[in-house]
Amino acid sequence: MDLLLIEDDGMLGQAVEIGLSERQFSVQWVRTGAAAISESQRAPYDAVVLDLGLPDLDGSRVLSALRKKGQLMPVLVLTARDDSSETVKLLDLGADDYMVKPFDMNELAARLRALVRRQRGQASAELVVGPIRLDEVNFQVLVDEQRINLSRREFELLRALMTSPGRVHSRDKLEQVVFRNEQQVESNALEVHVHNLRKKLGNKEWIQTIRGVGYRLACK
Amino acid sequence: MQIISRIRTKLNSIRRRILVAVSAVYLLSSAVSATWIYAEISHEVDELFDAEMVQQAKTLLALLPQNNEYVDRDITISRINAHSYEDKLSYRIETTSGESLLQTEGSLDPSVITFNEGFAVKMINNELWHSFGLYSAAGDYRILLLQQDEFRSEIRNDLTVDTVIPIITLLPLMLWLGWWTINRNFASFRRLAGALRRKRSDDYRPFSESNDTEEVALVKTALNHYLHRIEQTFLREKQFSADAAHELRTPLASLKAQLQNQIVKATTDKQKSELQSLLDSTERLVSLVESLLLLSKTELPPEQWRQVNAAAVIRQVISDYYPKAEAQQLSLEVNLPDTVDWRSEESYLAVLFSNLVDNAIKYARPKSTIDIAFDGSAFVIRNSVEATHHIDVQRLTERFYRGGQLREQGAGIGLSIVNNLARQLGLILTFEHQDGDFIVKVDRHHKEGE
Repeated sequence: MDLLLIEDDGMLGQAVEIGLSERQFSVQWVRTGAAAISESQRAPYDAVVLDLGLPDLDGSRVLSALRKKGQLMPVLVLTARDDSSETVKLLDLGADDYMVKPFDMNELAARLRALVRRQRGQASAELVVGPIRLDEVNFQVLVDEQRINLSRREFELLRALMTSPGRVHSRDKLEQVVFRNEQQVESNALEVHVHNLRKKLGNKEWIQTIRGVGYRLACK
Repeated sequence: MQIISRIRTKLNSIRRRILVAVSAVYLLSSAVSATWIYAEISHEVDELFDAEMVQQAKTLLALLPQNNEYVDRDITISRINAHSYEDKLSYRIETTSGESLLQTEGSLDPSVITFNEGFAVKMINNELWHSFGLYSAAGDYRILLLQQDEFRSEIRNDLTVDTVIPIITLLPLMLWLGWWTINRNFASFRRLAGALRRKRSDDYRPFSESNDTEEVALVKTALNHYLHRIEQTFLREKQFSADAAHELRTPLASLKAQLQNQIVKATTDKQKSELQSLLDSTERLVSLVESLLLLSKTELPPEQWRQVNAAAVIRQVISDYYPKAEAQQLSLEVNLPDTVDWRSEESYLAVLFSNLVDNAIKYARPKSTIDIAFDGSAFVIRNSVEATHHIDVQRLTERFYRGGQLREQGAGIGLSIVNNLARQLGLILTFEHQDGDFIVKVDRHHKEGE
């Protein structure tokens, strides 16, 4: 995979170049915004890693310049700032992902691979946890290869639980996903949906209740 | 003494002071002018009646026959009760030797009064009388006229009272008008104070300076100048935080990436484990730097206040920390209502709860239960601690204080961050250590609707 690395810090640039090269990326490293823009037009790249603090151009200006020139490759932004307004602005400008320094090399490589995969249309539209398979495109759920019928809300609920299995999901977050912004949701409405979903899945142990907190998907 | 101190307290207001001063000046000038008027009137009335007495004496003497031709002696002119003031005037006419020719009848017998030529004031039977004595031109008769002072004083008093009454009547109106004017003018100060009180801690916009009186404008200009200075300091602090974050994180990122690259390249287990321990140290450094950056960030007030469901925030925090608690075989007993609406800032509140829940998990006795509940007013987090743990509740929020629990990793900054956040969000933190339990309460300073 061809990768354009835009990083002005010599030490960090070198470390990322070596680290990503060892993880099967072919890295082209530039140190300025201007060089990045001309380099991106010279050769096609599968992805860009962009540091925000550049000496000549602000990282966000480089990003919008790339997008204006019709460059659609995924861009992962490296930032040392952790305020959310900054990251929202970057995502709005067309960044695909961001990582706050100091980051983990393995995670950086994994995220880049995912971005490229998604760009090439290979993103998996299927979530699989144990015997449950959820097809996000066709709104189908299979348990042990047997199709089960879920209502829209049960589907949203299961999908939310399946996106990070083993994690505890708070009731409030699940209510947001299932009921969106509906007003006047009965206080036990979520419990009712969980109860129905458990029945349809056929195994009551799979969705665990964490009392006072929320739920967790726990099937292996 | 109590009255004096009460008056002092009452006078601790510019408005009252002005009102008292203006009223005092008004009353004093009224008193001076009333005295002046009284003196003037007394003088004029005396002149008028003295002249009249002279006139009367002359007329009466002129009517007498000349050269002792007057034969009748000792005539008394009886009262006709034509007017109640009849009694207040009397006279007697006599020969120079003191032989009475004529005298009036009344409450005062003029014959008992000794003759004085000219004007005199006499005290007779406890009453004040003005007298005027005159010899006839030929020197054969003399006349003594007497007039009671009450006659004059009534006019004097009536005229003075008539002048003073309007002044006294106008006093309440004047006081009210004065109070109204003062209040009206001071209202702009009250409005300014109100605006200042309502101003959010992150609002540095200057007060508009239109239509102000000179005095209010003076205060506003000073306040605006002050707000500007605070804003500058705030922005500098913020810039410093951002710069420090960038300057610290970039080399750390580079160090971490290099170490990770080296671990991948390492060929022997010994090399790998040495590099891994370097990486672990770097991670500790990273988390210390992150804590310090967070601490410096929480020195500044939050930027967006909103209505936040604090129960949902802490539930989310608990769900994030659930695996960590489970890994340490701790059970969580959570008792929270669906909603607890607080006016707050969600990310600050989340960091505050995260640090408290993280601490509870970190320092809880193995295999114990952590209680997290809402008691109707405050969030209460309770964990049991080892009996041997010494916790100095007073020193908990000090930076780098670790309470001697050195077996756990951590720099002792978490509770300082929590303390800063609580201050910024207007929350009260209470720490208790009793019967082997460590209890943290998070309550609000100002409760809405109270």
